[in-house]
Parts: sequence; structure tokens; C-alpha cells
Amino acid sequence: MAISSEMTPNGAMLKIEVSGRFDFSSHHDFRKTYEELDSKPESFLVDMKNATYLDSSALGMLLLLRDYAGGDESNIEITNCSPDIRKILTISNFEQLFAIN
Amino acid sequence: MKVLVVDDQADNRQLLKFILDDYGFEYYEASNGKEALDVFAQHAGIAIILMDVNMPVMDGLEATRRIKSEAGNRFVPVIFITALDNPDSLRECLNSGGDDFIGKPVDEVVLISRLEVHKRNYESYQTIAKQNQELIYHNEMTNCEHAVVDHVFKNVIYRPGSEVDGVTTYVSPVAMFNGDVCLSKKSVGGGIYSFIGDFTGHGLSAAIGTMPMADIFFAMSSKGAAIEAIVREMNTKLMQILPPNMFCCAIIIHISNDHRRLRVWSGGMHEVYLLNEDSDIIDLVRSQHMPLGLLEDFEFEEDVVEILLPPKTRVLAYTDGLVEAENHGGEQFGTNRLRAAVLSSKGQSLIPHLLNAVTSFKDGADQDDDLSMVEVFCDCERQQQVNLKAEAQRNVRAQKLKTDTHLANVLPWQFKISLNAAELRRDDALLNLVSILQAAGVEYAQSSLSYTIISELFNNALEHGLLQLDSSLKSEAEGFEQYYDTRKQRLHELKEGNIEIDLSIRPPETLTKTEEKYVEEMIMNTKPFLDIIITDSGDGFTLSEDSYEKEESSYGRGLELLKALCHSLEYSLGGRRVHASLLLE
Repeated sequence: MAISSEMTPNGAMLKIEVSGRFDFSSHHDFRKTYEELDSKPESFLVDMKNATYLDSSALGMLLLLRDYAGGDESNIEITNCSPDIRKILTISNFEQLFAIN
Repeated sequence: MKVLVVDDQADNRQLLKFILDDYGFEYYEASNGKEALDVFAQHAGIAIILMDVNMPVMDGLEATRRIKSEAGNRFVPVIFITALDNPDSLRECLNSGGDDFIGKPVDEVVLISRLEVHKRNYESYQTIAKQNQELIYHNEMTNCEHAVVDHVFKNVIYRPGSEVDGVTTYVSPVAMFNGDVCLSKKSVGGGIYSFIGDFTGHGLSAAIGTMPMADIFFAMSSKGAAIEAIVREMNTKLMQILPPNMFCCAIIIHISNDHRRLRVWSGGMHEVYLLNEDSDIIDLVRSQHMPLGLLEDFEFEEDVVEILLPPKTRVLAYTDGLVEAENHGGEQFGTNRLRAAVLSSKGQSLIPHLLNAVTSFKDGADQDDDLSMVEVFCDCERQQQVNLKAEAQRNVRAQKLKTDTHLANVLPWQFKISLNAAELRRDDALLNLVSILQAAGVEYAQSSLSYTIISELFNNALEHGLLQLDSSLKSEAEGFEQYYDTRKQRLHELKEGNIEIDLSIRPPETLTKTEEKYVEEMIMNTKPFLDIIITDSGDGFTLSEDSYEKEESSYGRGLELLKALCHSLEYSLGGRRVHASLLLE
């Protein structure tokens, strides 16, 4: 449930890496990664490489991030999803809201 | 006994009738050859014919020829009554098929003694004919029975798929049925099982024992049993069914999946040859045990010899018919000639080479014992390629099926736990559940999907059932934070209430098909279910229709997700209980 983040040197993109369980227990850390920035980056990358599972509250958190990033104008990429995580995102139609690969 | 008298002189016939009547013979008469044919045809039981030579219409010689041809295989003695002074006439009588003469004029004593002799012959002929018929009948019955047994036997011994790459066998039976048996089976991982056995005797009585051997061999090898277990099972079976004077010399071989290791159990057989690429002998495995079917279970030893195999090794096992093959001089082929023949094979396939050697040694002499050989060619280098390829294919298939064979073998189990308020406060409750699934050997519990489902159901029961939280709080970022703060607070204050979790596995129906080819089909059709039933002691909740209508809403997605992931999802007890079934793949 560790969340870590890193900004690209030019401040254009925020990379958020989720490890372990992605559920309500990580909502505070997840939110902190983008709400405490000095300036809002142009795009976001959520790396699921080390995420073991996610639940519906994680989906809610991703949607809150999307809201923050500008809703329909947002540019958020979710990457390195395992087949199971990919399945959950697909069931929830997240492919229409995020760039998933 | 019926006697036919053929004479054109009524006086002669009358005289003979008197004599025959006196001695209890049944009298029939004819006045010439042609009449004789008619009477003979009408009265089937006529046993002896007294025949005159010279008669009108048809003479005795012609009548005899015709009667003999008419009678076919049936023996009907014809005694000519004729003057004995003309040798040419006597010769003609015999040539026409006559069996004896009585001189004219007929002497009563001579006639009766002759008839008694022929009566005896006739009776013994009848006995032989009867016995002969019985023999024919029994012979035909035996042939029919053999045909049935042969059919059954072949189906038991030769199974589809028992042709194994790398294994060559030769079986030459002495009789129609065979006391030698060679069986081979490839294991799923690419290893080889091979069995060669020699029952005491040959023919049907020896062959009968091979059938249970084949059953055991194919059933156990297809399950990947160790050869120790297979020989013990075979021994137990033979002890149970064979008479004490029958047993089975046997070798069972197992080549490991990578073809690097050989394991051998050998009882009462000649040594097993291991040859390298150049036909040098690497090793000889001598028989370590008594034949099968002699020792009681507690005396029986199943230890095997284990040998590491270099690449391109040939393994040869044979029955004693090979070394005991005799030439015309009664000399046996013997182990020395065999060894010489083996060494001169120059890396070629051994069986044809050895057959040539033994055939030229015997030089056409009869075979006296069943002769069998089995040769296994193991090449670990080639096998590595084969196995890699097979593994790649398996992976592709597994990917396609998204399943593993172990799913078909899951045992049913159930696990129930009830968590009270204090236990619910521990944030490792959920993790514990999943480790229980894993500890039960359910590898698929590691799959994040089943974890997601359990977590979703559990959190619903806790948050909405016990803690009475409202999901719509989560619509705003601050609400989200607030929602989880409230959750924490209410959980901390929770005094009463519990959540009961009931996990169970329903396995697929157990199928009896053991053949490999069915395995894939079995996996396809039979996947186990994981049933998750979670009951909370709260007030229940109703699902409001608008709670998950908006695509982009940050709450209310859980139920939608559950419906999509589960095979079935049912709420009961006014929302206090949820039953989810998950098809494990």
C-alpha cells in the first residue's frame, strides 16, 4: 500500500507508483501526491507495476485524481496493469476516462 | 445288427436268412446290385453287406463300388460270397472295395465267425466315429473360445497410445498366446515407463496373467506412479490370482522426464544392458529380486537401481527365450554370444541386429520358448529440446485455458469465521482471510480478483451494514477523506456486532477418466467454485438505484464490479447477507 511519486524535471508530468494493495487505506497518501504540489502538472502517469490488487475505493480515488486534473480535459495514463487489474478497470469502463496500457 | 444279403438265387438268400435269424441278425435282401443300392439307401442302419458276384442287372462288383462311394466316410464292410479258387476274381472283388470273402458253398460256422469279427470292427468303428465327432466339436469350440480370448487379450495388452517414441519391442510367441509381455507408456512430462515380463510356461495359461499386469501398468503409469508402487501392486495382484507354481519374471524401467535418469526394478530376469553411442557397455543391471508372484507382501522388496544416463544411451532388456534359443545341435545361444552381438551393433538399433544374430545361430531350428526384447533409446539432449517445445505448447494452452490441472483435483472444504467488534478493528482481518485461502493450497487465491471480491464484500458489510456509512459522501475529495475518517471513528467506537465469513470450495464433479487425452477436456468442463457468504449483524441496507448510475461518480462502483466479476451474486436477509460465487479459473 505504499504510494510514491516523482515529478519529471521540467514539472510537466507526475509519476505515481502504487505498490501492494490499492484500497482505502492508501487514499491519504495517494491524494497527498498531487494535492501538495506547487503547480499542477500537465499530465499524470499511474504506474501499477507493483500493485497486487485494487478495489472500488481505489477506482474512486482514480476518479478524484481525474477531477483534480481537469475532468474531461485531464491527461492521465494508467500503465503496467496486471491482467486482473486490467479486467477491473475494463469492467468499470475506465478505458473511456483514462489512457490505459 | 442289420445285414443286407444280395443274391439273385432265392434259395441262397433263404439259406442265409435262416442262419442270420438263428443268430439274431436283422435280415434284409436284394436280388441284384441295383436293388441292393435301393435297399441300402432306404435303410440307413445297414451295417454289413453279404454280396454275390455274378448277378443280372448289376453285378456285385459294380454295386460294391457304388455303395462304398455312397457311404463316404461311413464304414460299411462288404463281404463277397464267392468261389475261392480264382485269384483274379478275388483281386477284382477287393479292388472294387470289398472287405472280405466267404467261400461258396457257405459254411454256417465260418459265416457266423466272420460276421462276429466284422461286427466287432463295425462297433469299434462306431466308437471311433463318435469320438472323432466329439473331437471336431471340441476343436471348433476351442477355436471359438480362442478367438474371443484373443480379442480381449489384444485389447488389454495393446492400447491406443502404447506406441512410445524411442521404445522398440519385439515379441515372438511360441503358441497363439504369449506368456511374455512388453508394455510401454509415455508419461505426461516426457518420461518413459517400460515393462517386460515372462510368465512361467507359454500359451493361454501363461497369457492369462499378463492381463492384470497390463491393467495395473497402464492405470498406474498414466497417473505417474513410482515404479516401486507399480511392482508392489503387480506382486500383490499375482499373489492373489496365480496358482503357486506360476510366477512372472519381470523388469520395469522408468526413464525420467529429462531422460537423464534411469530407474530399474528387476526380478528373476537376465541383466539389463546400458550402451553408449558406440555400443560400449556403460553398465549392466543385474536382477536384484525374486520374480513377481512369489513373495507375500511383507517379504516383497521394491528397491530399485538408479543410474545416470549420458546422452544417446540404449537400454536393452530381454526374456530368457533369447539366450536359451537352441540350434539343431541342442546348443544354446547363450550370454556370451549375446554380449558379442550387442558389442558389434555399432550404435545401431539393437533389436534387428540381435534377431539376425539369433536367427542365423538357430539356422532354422524350432523355437521352444517365447522370446521378447525391449529397447529404449534415451537422449537427454534431444529430450531437452522436446520438453522445451512441449512446455512452450503447454504454456500456450494454459494461457488459452487460463487454468491449471490442479483445479480439477481440488477437494471440497469449508471455512467459517465470525469476527466481533474488537477483531474487526484489526486491519489485518482481510489479509488473514486470504492467507487462509493460500494455506489451504488454493493458489488461485493469490489472484487479485478473488481478493478484490472478498475485500469488496467484506467492506460493504462493515461500512454499510455495521457502520452505517453513506457512500454518497465520497462524491467529493473532501468527502472521500471524511468518509474514511468517519469509518475509522465509528469502527473505533463499535461495541457490538459481528461479521460472519463463510468460504467454501465446491469442486467439479469427479470424473473417472484417467486417459491423458481427457484431461484437457476435463479441465475445460469442470472448474471449481469458490463460494463466499458474508453475513453482518447490522440493520441491513437497501440498494438505491441512483447510487451507481453515473459513469464518473467516485462512489458506488463496488456492486457493479462485483456483478461483473462473480458467477452469481445474491443478497438476502434484507441486505445483511451476501452470497457470491466465483468460478475459479
